[in-house]
Amino acid sequence: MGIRCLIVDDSTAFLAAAERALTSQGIIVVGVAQDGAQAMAGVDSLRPDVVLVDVYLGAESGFALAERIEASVQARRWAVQVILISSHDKDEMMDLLQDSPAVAFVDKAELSAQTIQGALEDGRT
Amino acid sequence: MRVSPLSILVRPTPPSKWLGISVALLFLALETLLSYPLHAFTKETTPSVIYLLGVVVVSIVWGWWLGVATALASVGMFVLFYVHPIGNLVDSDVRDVTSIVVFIAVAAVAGALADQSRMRAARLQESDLTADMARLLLDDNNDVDSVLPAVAQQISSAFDLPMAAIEAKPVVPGGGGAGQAAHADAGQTVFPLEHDSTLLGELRVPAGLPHRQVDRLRQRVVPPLASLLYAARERAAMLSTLAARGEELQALATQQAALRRVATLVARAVSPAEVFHAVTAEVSRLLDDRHTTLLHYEADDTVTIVSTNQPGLMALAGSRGPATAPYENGKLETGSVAELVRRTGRAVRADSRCGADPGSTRRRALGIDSAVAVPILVEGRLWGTIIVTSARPEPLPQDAEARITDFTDLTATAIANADNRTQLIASRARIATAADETRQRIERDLHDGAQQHLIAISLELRAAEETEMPPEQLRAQMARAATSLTEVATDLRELARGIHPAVLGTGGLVPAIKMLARRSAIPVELHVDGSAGRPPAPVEIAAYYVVSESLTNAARHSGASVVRVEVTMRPDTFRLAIRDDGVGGADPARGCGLTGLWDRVETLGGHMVVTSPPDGGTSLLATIPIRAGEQPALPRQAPAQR
Repeated sequence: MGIRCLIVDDSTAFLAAAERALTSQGIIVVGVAQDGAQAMAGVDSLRPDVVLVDVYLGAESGFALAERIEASVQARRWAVQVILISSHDKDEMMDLLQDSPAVAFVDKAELSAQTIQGALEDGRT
Repeated sequence: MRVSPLSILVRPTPPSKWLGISVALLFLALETLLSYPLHAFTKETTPSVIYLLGVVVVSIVWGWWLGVATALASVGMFVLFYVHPIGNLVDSDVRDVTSIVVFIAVAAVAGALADQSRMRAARLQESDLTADMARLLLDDNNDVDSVLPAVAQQISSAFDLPMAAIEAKPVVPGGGGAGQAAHADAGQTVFPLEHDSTLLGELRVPAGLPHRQVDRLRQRVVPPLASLLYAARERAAMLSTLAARGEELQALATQQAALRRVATLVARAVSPAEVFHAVTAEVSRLLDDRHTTLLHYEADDTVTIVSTNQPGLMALAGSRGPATAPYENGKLETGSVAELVRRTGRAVRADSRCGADPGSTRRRALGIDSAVAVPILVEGRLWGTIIVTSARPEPLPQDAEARITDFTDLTATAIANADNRTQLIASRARIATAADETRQRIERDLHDGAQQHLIAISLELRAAEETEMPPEQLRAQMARAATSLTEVATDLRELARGIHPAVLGTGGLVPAIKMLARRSAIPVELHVDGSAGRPPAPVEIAAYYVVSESLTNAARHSGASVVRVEVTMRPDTFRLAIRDDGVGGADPARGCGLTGLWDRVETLGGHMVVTSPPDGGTSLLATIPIRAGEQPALPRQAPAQR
């Protein structure tokens, strides 16, 4: 069965394109969010398996959102995994990624069903 | 001087004539008495020789006329007592007649010789007197008036006067009271002492002196005395002028040295606080260690003691609103010199010994006798004041204000320099911040705009590539991607224009402003004056942003119906005037955009003023100098395709 996915990004153009692309590749996009509050609400109501979080959410930080989602895991019975996405280079934020509870980082330009699955499998091992 | 026995008899001034007559009569009586016994046994006329003694003495001491009179009287006595009868005289011995002639001749010659001698003695005495007076009057002593009693004493002793006095008269320009002759006044004879028809003083002697003495005084004493008095006064005046010059030079040298020390500090751009302390110390030292305080006027009618050497205020230095006199609660007390300077903007001098106003009363209570306050004007604005107070009875020097002003000028320079430095640092910091912010904005614009769009397009295309889909769906996907690419191109063009308007480089300022005018929400009237060619590129860029920001502000805030933009280009100056007919009330301090513009203009050595009275529209005037040799902005080599 397909992976249930929630996309969080402040760019509507990206949200629309990513939703279409991932859906066509077999991912079930359960919803999109443009900021942290929408994302937290979506996590609770839509029960995604994975949340794709943009590192730069306008004024908010994607790292902070990843920590909030992880911190809320204790109160739920199902697991949610966070994948950070960005158009910035991975090298730029290597240190921040190491301290983050997110399972993986994916370059936005390389986002696809395949890369998401790969990241999740790496994270589990 | 050797005193000859004769000089005791031959005095410059003969004794009184009555004394002479008495002495002559006494001689006659004694001689007659003495000649009796002699005549008794000689029966000769020899005793007549005895009378010669009286004649000679009287002639020598009292002059020839009394001598001749005595001779005649002696002959008369002799004939009366020894020639009998009287009638016999004619028939008697002719030798008796001979003796008469001899008597008179001796009297005349002795008297004349004595007169001669007396005249010499008088001249000698007068010379001595003149020398003594000269010594007294032209001595080292600068105070002429104090030696006048001694001079008068010399005159009275030389002339055997019971008293003599010299009264100095203050010199009245124009010579009042000059040209007077000797006259009597209150039982005294007064001789005016004049030089060049200026009355210098008076010589007073008792009235009723013999004519001879009065004449001698007038002819032989008064002229040299007047000349000496004049010379002595001139000398004293000259000496005091020289001394004053010397003191002035000394004071000037001290002042210059103090100024140089402070100026060195100012030139070294030390902190203003250090300059303030130096100024306080130097001013205090120059004015005999009087208390000196440097105050800064705050905007709210209080003062800050910036620097002071007044013990009661030292603990309060640097604090605003000290609760100690003379600055009650830090408020400027009415009538205090600090308050007067603030009110008038001019130097103020106060003397508390007189006056019942609050300031004087207050100063008296504080034990301050006098105070001088000089304003510190920084670039024409009243910044503060230097106050010097004195608790001593002698007043502060007349030139205290002028001397303090030299220091207030230096203080003002130090403050202005520090202000300019602070402004320069702030301006540099703002320019650096503005550049950083601009880069950040460009980065964000690129990231959030073009980059997101491009990623979206790449995702769509990849999805299309990997997924089987009907041709219609694929076409729709391609069309979306193409539309997105057009949007990206537009975004990038806008962004590039924001970084630097291309038309400015190629076409120059006027086409660039015309472009701004076309895009403006409010109609723009553009007036361009000048054929001096294009100003240097930095000036063009600054002007472009000034116009751009002004039009944006006008559209946002002014509610104006038209904006008039005037550009004046001269070989040495570039002027830009922008006026709107809107509501005004713009605050240059608040508008961040305006500050950025101000920095741009100031960086080029220019000047920008914004006036925006409520309901009066907003007007902006920027002037930028164009330095000779600066490269004008040339049209860029136009690329083949844009």
